[in-house]
Amino acid sequence: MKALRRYDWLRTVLLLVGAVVFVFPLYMTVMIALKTPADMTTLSGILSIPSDPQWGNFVEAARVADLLTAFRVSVTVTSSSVVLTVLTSSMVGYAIGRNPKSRLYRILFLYFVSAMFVPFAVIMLPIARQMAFLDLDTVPGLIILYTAYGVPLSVFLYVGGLKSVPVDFDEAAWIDGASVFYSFRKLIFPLLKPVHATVVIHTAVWTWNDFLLPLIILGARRINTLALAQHSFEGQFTTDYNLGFASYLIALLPMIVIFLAAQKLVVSGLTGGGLK
Amino acid sequence: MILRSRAPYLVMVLPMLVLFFVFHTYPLLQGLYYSFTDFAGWGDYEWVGLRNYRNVFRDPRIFDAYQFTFLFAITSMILVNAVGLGAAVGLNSNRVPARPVFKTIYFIPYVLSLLVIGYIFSYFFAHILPRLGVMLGIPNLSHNILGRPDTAWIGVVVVSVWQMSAFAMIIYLAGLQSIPKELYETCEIDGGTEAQKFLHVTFPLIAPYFTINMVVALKNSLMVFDQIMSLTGGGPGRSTESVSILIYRGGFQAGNFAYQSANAFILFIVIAVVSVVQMKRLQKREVQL
Amino acid sequence: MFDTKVMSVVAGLFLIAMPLFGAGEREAELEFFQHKMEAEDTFDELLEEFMEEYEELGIQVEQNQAPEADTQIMSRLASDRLPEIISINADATYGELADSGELKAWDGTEIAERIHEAHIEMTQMLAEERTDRIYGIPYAANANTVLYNVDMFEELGLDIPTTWSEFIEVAETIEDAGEQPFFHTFADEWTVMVPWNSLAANYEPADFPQLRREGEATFSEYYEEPAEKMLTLLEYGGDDPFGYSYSDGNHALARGDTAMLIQGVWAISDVEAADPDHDIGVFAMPVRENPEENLLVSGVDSIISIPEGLDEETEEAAVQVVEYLTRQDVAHQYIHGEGMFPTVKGIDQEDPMMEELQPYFAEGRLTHFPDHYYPPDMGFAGMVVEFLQHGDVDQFLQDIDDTYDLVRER
Repeated sequence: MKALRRYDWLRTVLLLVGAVVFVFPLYMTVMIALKTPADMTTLSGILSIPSDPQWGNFVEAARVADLLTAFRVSVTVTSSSVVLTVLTSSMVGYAIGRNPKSRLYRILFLYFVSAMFVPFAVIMLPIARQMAFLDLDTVPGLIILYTAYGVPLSVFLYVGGLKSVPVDFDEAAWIDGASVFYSFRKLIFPLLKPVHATVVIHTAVWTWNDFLLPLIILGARRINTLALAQHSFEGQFTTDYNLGFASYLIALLPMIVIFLAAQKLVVSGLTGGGLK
Repeated sequence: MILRSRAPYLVMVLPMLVLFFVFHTYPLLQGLYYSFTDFAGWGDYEWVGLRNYRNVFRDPRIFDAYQFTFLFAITSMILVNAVGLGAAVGLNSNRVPARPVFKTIYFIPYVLSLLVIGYIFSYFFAHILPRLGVMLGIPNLSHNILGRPDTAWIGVVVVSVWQMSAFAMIIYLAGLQSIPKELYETCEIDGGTEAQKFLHVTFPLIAPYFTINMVVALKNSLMVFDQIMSLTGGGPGRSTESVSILIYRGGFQAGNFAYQSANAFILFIVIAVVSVVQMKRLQKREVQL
Repeated sequence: MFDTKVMSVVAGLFLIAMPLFGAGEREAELEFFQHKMEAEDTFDELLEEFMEEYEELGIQVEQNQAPEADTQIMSRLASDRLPEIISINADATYGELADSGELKAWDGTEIAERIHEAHIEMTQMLAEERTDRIYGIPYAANANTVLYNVDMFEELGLDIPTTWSEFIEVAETIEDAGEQPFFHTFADEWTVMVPWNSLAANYEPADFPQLRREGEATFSEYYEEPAEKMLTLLEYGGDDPFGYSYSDGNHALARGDTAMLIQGVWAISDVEAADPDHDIGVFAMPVRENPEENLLVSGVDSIISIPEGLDEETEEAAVQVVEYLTRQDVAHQYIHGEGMFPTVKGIDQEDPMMEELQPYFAEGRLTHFPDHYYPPDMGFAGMVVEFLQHGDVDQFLQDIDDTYDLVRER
């Protein structure tokens, strides 16, 4: 009884309403993905729990839209971009963060960070041409772009995070005869874990879900990421909603699973490193 | 400070500097250059000075795109922050059962693709909502809201708020958790109500978080693209054609590469000015509070 | 927090992914880029048969049925990545492609000889500068029509309307019988151009595109009547004309939810696929009051091109594919599969379903699609959708004239 009174029921009910709003589209997606077109004539037919779940829809959707290949491309792009971004941006952030008095590095910092205000639409048209002419309208090309375009935010985060790592640490190592590279790699890099978490999460979510960059870079090569495949095969899916929703679910699920598995990390990563 | 050679630092910076220049700054400059030509995207071209810029300012299609983009972005920014803050305040109480479950549910949209969410909602607006509207006898909901120019933008806002609130919520939650409990107690001793507590303690203290969320939400919304591609494709008519969509379609189509490059540069300036002004004003406010 | 475990998981993923680098790269093969969602299966069959029949040539062709084909093909032109074989709608985008000078010319080839001159001329007019050479092979002609449910027409005792008044009377009768006369699908805004093209084509002079280009005519002069009639059609198009998509409409006709669907013959294969049991008929939309004056809008549905400057071997292979597709037996198979009309000489569309349309072809009462000559970045379809929502004819006419001038100026 006491436990019940402890709860703020008004708040709970409001939160419950909100939860329904957030869950409903996903619930609907799962229900439709497991049905046949014949089930879809009435509202209750669409939204009820299927009596005979059509697991084959996933197989069929994967076949129609070649989602297996798309999945592999997405994993390649996301994992490579994440690793490369962490490695490169942390170095840049370190170099900038450890030279606060140098005009050169202050200008560099401004140069990178001000790029955050450049809407992608501004470079969209020229970069599409440039990548094609360099023969980089490919998966590696896309990874290079993500690594480059990740720099402004990541460097900003690393420079911020570095402020909480005293310079004494570096100096102590140098006295022992360590090089700058060595002290960065062995000492500072591990200490930046909270920032790494933020950068990894941002980069992963962004590169996995991004649509416009793969569209203009890979479109002509008919290579699909998982997100891009949803667009490329739109035509097939408007005639068969069930397959379409199975395909949407395949695109959404990996991120949901990773998120559920590493939820604490994601949340603390975003709030911990993100606000320095 | 022990003097160290600067060479290692340069080595650390140089590769990314080159990469960034080649793949970001160079295309940016190239776009700027083309915006003063009549380049179609292929073939020969000539220098035309400011002609593209003059035409952009006289083009009703571009004006409409900006109008929609701003209407959408400001509405989204307000709603994303309202929903995010509301959810964060709700979740910040230890008098709510199953808080971790709620938190998980509220946060999931952050990791989901706006394009795919758009496809899911477009089905919802076309096939689920109208039937609900008919059942409940609400005439305004008994047709596909994406089908009307005056309501389609609402659909785009709904999807964006659904997806983007999660990030705002997490940031606010961090802000709320950073407020020391004693402050609330002082307020209670002074006889403050819940509303007063929120206005005089909570809100001033989360001001920096508010600034970040407002700037991020507005900037992202001004570049809206994915959800429009999957929801309306810019229609009906051109009622949900955002500036990014226009640049994509117009720039690649119909030989308007140079013309849309000029439009893109104007968008760049607009976003930069809006972000800087917004940050300045909000930061001033932070201090005043 | 962020421990080494996580880092190693990420690194592990990366390592797993490494061998997959290039997972998406494709083998050297010909890309057959084509715009028609409806024709995907037919082309798959035809290309399959081609590869079997010409196995010794070792040509691999893969179809790419592209969404937003117009935007895609232009962006690929800009980045010098044109597909080896391009099949798009013969409209203003094709005109721009031809004008770019990036397409191979077919003049004097045996393949060009196979095609009716009228169709070739029609597509040459789409370009503005390079009008003297043949940059594409018109592959099939379509007809802009009204599809109807034969059973329902019989039950209600309805005849095929031959004048505008009869057309509206038929719609009234259907509505009085408690059925839905039309099913508008303007959520896909291009579908608004189907009725519009039939209406506009019957009111504008044949040389209107040139006249408008030279400033000797305006839209306002000719389009008032079509605009009024669009508003009339809107009244019979269901409770949510702007809420449904193209495929919703095809399904509705197939299921018997609507008596008529204002769609071109290209939709027939989709309707039949949705429900093969229903009897579907097709007639030309009657626009005038004198049946003899009524013109059927027919255009080149797909035009096939090959880019200039392919290496010799690739070009030969691509030409081989076009050669195959334009063979009489193959073209015959295609037009019957897709409910199209021939552009290749010596074959006919014999499907009894097309009976109503035959007189138009026999008597040459045909005209081109007006919208193929509107500049694509005018966004004409969008403007019609907007107009249907506000209903102000004068404002609409003013808007399209202004927009045309503005777009031409760029």
